[in-house]
Amino acid sequence: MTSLDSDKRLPAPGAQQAAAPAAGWGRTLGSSARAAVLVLLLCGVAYPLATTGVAQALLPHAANGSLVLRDGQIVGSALIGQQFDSARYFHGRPSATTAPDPKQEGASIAAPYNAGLSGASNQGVSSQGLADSVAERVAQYRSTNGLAADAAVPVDAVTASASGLDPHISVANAQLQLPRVARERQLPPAQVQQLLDQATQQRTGYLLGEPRVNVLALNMALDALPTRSQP
Amino acid sequence: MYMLQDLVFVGLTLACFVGLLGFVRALVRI
Amino acid sequence: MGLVWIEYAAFVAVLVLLTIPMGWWLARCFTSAHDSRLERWTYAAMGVDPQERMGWQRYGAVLVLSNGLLMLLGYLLLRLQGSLPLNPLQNAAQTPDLAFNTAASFITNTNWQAYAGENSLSNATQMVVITGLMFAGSAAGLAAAAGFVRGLARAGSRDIGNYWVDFVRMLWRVLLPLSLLLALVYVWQGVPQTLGTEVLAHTIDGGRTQQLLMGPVASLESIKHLGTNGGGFFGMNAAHPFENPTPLTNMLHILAMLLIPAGMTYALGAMLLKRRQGWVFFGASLVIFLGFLALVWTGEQNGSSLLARAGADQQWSATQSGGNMEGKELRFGITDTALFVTATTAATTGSVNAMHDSLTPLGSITPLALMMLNCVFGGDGVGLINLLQYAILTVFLAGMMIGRTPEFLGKKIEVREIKLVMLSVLAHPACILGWTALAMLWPGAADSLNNRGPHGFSEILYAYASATANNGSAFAGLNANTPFFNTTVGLAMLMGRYLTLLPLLAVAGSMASKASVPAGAGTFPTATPLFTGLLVFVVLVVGGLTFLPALALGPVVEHLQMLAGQLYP
Repeated sequence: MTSLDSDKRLPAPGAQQAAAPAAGWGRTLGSSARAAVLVLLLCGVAYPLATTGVAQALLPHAANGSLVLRDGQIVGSALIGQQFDSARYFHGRPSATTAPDPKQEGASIAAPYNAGLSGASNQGVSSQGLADSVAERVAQYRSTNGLAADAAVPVDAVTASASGLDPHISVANAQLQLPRVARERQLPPAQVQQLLDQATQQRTGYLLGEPRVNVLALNMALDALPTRSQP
Repeated sequence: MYMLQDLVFVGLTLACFVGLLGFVRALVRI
Repeated sequence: MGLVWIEYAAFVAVLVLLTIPMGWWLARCFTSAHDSRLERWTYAAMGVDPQERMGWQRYGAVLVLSNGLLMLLGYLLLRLQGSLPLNPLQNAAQTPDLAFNTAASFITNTNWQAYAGENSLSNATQMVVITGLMFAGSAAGLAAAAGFVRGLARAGSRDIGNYWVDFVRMLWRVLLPLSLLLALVYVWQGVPQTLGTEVLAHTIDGGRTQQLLMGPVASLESIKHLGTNGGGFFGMNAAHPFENPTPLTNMLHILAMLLIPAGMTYALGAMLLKRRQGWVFFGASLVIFLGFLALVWTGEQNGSSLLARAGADQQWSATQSGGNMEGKELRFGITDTALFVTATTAATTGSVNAMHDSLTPLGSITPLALMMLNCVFGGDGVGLINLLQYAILTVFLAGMMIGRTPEFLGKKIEVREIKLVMLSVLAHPACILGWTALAMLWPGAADSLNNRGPHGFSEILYAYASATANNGSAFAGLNANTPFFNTTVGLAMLMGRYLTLLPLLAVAGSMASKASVPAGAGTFPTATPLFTGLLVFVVLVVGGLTFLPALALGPVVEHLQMLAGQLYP
């Protein structure tokens, strides 16, 4: 049977294999050992170092974490979410990240948007703990944003993200927070809406992903507005 | 302290791979 | 909503288009008579003879030996991490049971991680051990597939190639160049690539300090998906914005995962000079893939009644994706997450862009089932081998039904081949179900569960399915970093990889030595839609019969209880 596999060095099928006998076990062991070291050096040292060199030379901002600066200080990364609690800011999604408890060895405490240890709740749809958390978040969202007691709350506002560092919220979520932020900052809602539209990213290529709002970018744009009355 | 555990796991690894070599040999007979 | 179908259709079209050149290139690598100067230098450095012709036994033994030494070297480096350079956060060495588990995991192309990379591994370890072993595990699987295909292609021959040549060629001609290129594309989209470890930021609300961890992420990320590895730099894997910042990187990850497995189906056709046969295998995988994609998308978009009762709005609209967003990232929503979940478990990669532990019960059947089937495109190299094993089984069953000696690709399938195929087919579920049963009985193992009730059972079932299928994803609520789980999961990974691979190498050797039988009037054609359908049927029935009871105890019960409103603390 002919095939693409026509290695010309192969003896014809059926002919005696006159090649040298296979290397003994000692030799094979030695080759395997050298191969192991070589592979780790080539793929584990040379390749990542080469990639780093090229990346740092060509795309330093992206290669170093897409850091965001304000007044010369690093305030975060464009890709990583951070915690916002004040009523003057748009709030991000709930985050289930934790940090080691400083008071008790081995235990952990809630530490939202802890970029030193990404995490999620990993709770399933039959989890009482999840049901309680969501109900609590729904109540809190309604009261913080002045919604009716039975208003539907966008699901992303009351569920924790997978990484705990999600930098985005849905447009629906942002829309519901807009009246509160405008009121706290004494800005006309139309102006805040304009900033919101600017901070909204649409689907990539009209197909991929979801429309989303980067919370850090939006809040920084709000802070950058010249205001008549500063608190 | 970890010495014993290291011995156990290195031994387990060696046992697995030597076992697999034996498995290859056994497959010849099937 | 129509956008979803357009996106999925576009994805299939792009996949088909990429499969052809990738498959052509893979076939060239496996059959070309020419060694480049770099490769000849590599053979000399290793001290191997590229001219050596290996029978299946020697091929398998060299594979086992070289993998074993790589695993030991990985173990050593993980245990010595505390004393090695480039460790600014002073990460301690992994414990022996964890190091055993991690080393086994990465050499078997599983990449199961019972640790969170960003705060327990130094950049040096992430590069040398993790990234390095990713290449090795992947190249080993591809080399095995090359040997297997040659076994089918050759007649009257005792040799199925040279393991070292296949291995080295995969590194130099496929994995290294593509990984480098893809890594740079990832950096362009925002994936970090630096030798630095941390940057401290001061948040704008409250002036808190945010410790941003990073490192040589892009170089790991590219081989992670191209090599169907799946281990993440960060604990939350491709859900972490630094590993998967944009919907474009998400789609690239998906395509990268499927590129080589899909390409291998085409390469098979090219090497056998039977292109249609390759497309049959591509088509069979695609059909099953799309079926399970529909299942997980539907499950997640419909959301959970728990969330609805608590007051969340899961309705799809122009301003929100809706659906079950617990454990998901907003930039991916439901649609891109569902595709990723399907791709990563089909291609036994195991990276995750959402927490599988938070998937709805019906949605969670998709990743579980795809790992249990383990042949829907499958991992680099081994996916094709697994699918071919089912093809042999299909031909055998068809032959038995009409009372003729089964033939596959011109070779008679005889008792020895069927015994070996059955050994491999049975090793997979025996490993999954056996270890699951043990863990359910083992005192103390239940303390590792994050969810009670049927979902807890699913966490354990998922762990061993993932390990045996060499997938590596997890229902991550399970605390698997205990001596019991580290050891048993480690053993499951080794068993799943080698106990299925080695019998099939023996089949390859057996087929290579047979004479070729010309196709006659009674030959069952295997390059037809009928055979594709039969193959899909055999895969689903064999997989279904084996695993349905376990699935019933886990996700199915959970779904029924969700509908009844039953909750567990």
